[in-house]
Amino acid sequence: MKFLKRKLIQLMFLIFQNPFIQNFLNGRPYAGPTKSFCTPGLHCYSCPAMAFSCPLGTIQYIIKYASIIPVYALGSLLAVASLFGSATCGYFCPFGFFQELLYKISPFKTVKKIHPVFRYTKWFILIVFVILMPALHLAQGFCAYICPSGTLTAGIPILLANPGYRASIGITFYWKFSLLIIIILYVMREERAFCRYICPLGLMLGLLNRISIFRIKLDKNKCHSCSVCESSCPMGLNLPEEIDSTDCIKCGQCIDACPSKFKAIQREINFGFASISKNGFEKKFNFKEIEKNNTKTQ
Amino acid sequence: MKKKGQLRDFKHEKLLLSLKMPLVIILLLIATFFIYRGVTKDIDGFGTHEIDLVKTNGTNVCQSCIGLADANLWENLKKLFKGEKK
Repeated sequence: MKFLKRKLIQLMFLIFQNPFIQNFLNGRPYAGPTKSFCTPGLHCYSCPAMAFSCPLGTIQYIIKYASIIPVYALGSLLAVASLFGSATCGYFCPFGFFQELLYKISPFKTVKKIHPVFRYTKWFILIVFVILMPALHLAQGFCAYICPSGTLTAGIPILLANPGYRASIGITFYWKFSLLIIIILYVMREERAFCRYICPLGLMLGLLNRISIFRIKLDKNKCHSCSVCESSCPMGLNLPEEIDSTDCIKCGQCIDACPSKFKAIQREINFGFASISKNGFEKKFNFKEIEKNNTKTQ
Repeated sequence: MKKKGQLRDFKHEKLLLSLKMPLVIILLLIATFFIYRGVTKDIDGFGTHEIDLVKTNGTNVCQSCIGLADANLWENLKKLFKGEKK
């Protein structure tokens, strides 16, 4: 039931971002005023139904063609990240939703932990493809050579609707299409594999996970280290140690998996000096108690 | 020295907890400033703002995104290195 609740939220946001479905027929992107706003999810702005702009595409375009720091897109991401961290990956991102659905229906899924080395590929992709390649005026690296969302939601529908574009298909399209198929197959095997190893947007948002207001909290006193949460994590993180780490998408599946008699993991709105969770309002400056515990253990 | 089983030093805990909200507020202020600059700052002397570029880019069919920009990566690389040599 809780799983369905998050899926409904994801579906709602998918519809919210893609209200112009009729544009798939003519293969032209929506051109209204909402295109001035960046959404914190990986969804191509050239998708005919998309009402907003993709922050990654915007960042690359502005670096490449205007040769300035894309303060508007970065500001939008910074605002979202300081409030929610990468919770947008778990609730808002259409490509994340697509990956979860694929994994759900997959006949050959496996439960795998995140690879300890390849998890850092995201850094390489962010630095080389999103920043360096546009800055050197080579190409919009991530959009041109990697982004599977662009191929799936913009490339294929636009090419299907516009015969004129089909004549100019070249090696880049075949490369991107092959990559999309590989990513789809791998996502069916390993849950959210794209988010785990490739997505630079999730990395940028996740950098502020520890500071953001919306947090996932572990109560170490209640945790019995049963590792049930670990097997439920779609990102394959080493839980409970990595709760709310840079790679965490705050989807809350660990919360649902935690045995109800323990309830060691909870969502909370954390203001630093105080927090609000299911337990209600809690003051964090209870230092007398901490001091008392310290003297007890001594 | 901390003994085994002893909880974290609460002074550092207090410092971290008291710094969190100011830090978030500073980040939000920076974000607001960035967005404000993106909306108001003229970037080319012709009255174009960054937000206009965002909209223009978003409303066109992006050749890169749909995989049609065979971006001549190698030629661009050659140009880049030739330019550097000059």
